[in-house]
Amino acid sequence: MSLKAALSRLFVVPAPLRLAGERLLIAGLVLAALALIVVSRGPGETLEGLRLVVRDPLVPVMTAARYPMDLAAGVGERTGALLAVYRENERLRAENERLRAREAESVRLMVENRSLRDVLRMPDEADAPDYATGHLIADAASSFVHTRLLDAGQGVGIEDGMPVLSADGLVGRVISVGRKSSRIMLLTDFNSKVPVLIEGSGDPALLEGDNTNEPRLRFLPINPQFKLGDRVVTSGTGGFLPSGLLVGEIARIDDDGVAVRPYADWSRLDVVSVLRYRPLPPPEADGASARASAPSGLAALQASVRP
Amino acid sequence: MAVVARHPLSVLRRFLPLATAVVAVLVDLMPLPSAAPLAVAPLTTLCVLFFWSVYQPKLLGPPSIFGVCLFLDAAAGLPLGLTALAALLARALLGGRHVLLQAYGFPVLWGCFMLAAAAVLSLRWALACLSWWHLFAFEPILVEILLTVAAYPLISWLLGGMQPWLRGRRHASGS
Repeated sequence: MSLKAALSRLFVVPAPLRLAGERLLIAGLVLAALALIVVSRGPGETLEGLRLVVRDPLVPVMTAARYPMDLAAGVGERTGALLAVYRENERLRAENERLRAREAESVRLMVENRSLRDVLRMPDEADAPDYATGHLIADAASSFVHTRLLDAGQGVGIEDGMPVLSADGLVGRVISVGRKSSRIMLLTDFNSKVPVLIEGSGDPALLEGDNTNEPRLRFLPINPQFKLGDRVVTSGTGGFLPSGLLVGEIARIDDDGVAVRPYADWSRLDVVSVLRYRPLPPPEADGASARASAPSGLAALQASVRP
Repeated sequence: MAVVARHPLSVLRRFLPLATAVVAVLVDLMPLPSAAPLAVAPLTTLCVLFFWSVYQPKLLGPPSIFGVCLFLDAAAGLPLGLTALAALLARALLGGRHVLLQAYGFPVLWGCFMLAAAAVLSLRWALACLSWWHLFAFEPILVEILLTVAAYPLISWLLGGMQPWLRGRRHASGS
């Protein structure tokens, strides 16, 4: 018998003992997993660093992994578009006519707005919005959270809390940022809460996600005036999000409350823009700076419109 | 010389189950095309972990399962340890029965996978409810269980194609 064979016989572990060893190992790992769950759901961002260690290197891998899927989707989309090109052309012509009329109207409103601002001596509007764009590259792989991974992070100026938009409207907001990646919480996530305003009626409310495709309106006034189909936009209350961002429209009113159908087209949610918007300063500082810089007429106007 | 030349291949074979599990995690993380946020997809990672736990348990031990599930949780933004805990408990239930399961035909194995998938995904749901202190709807989990069970034959067939290659390693090493 060779030395190797003798040693391997000596160190052979009987099956029941091996099984007991594996069970012991599993018990240890289960305890470690339990400890991780408790710590990762606890206060602070103890394990956020560990998530980022995994997440940032994942960006090039997921981008490469998406390539065949994008290719297949592109071929399918192009084939479909070729088949429907005549109808699409007709639709675009009609839309072009509508947009021309709207453009004329918006130019008229812009001129009117400017002259009214001059009359009220209101300061000029803030600079043009500043966006960072990226691809949504990964899903949450569960139905518990409605989040997506974006392939852009601190490197392009993205920060926690910034709103994320698609071409159709608000998609969600940034909840965690790495150097090259960000995690986005969608409007539909059960943790999502967005202060909104219903256009037309002016009713304020809080849009809360409930892990369905249609988030709900909460904290509505006692006698709301809105109707089905009314547009919902961000109100800017609290200063965390800018006002006037398109969110969706009133889809249903039933016993469970008021459901809003987001404008974001989830089936085309691939490229999104992060609005590089910084939350307003706290009220004390804001009040002090307003008193120091704004003319007295404007301060009086602001005071009158505050709830 | 032949032993030295074969060595990198044998290392590759040893890590094949782990590599397939990592690929399954990437597949699970892929955003579904044309899907609403509520859309549910099968958890292919679970299929891969179950397959190797039955056919090559030594090549995909509990530490590897823990690592793969932790990777999934970290990349998906879930509480770390959520999937690992459920998957490890399922592995503990499987214990040394993998030899017995191998002896039975595919329908029995598929039935066992159905039970394992139901146990793991239900436990993950219960842990998520406790972790967030929020009662999540169970219907999406039910659909996820059904989709995962439905995906198992295809994944089993794909991984089964790699089995002869892995068996080649055993014959070569003489174990």
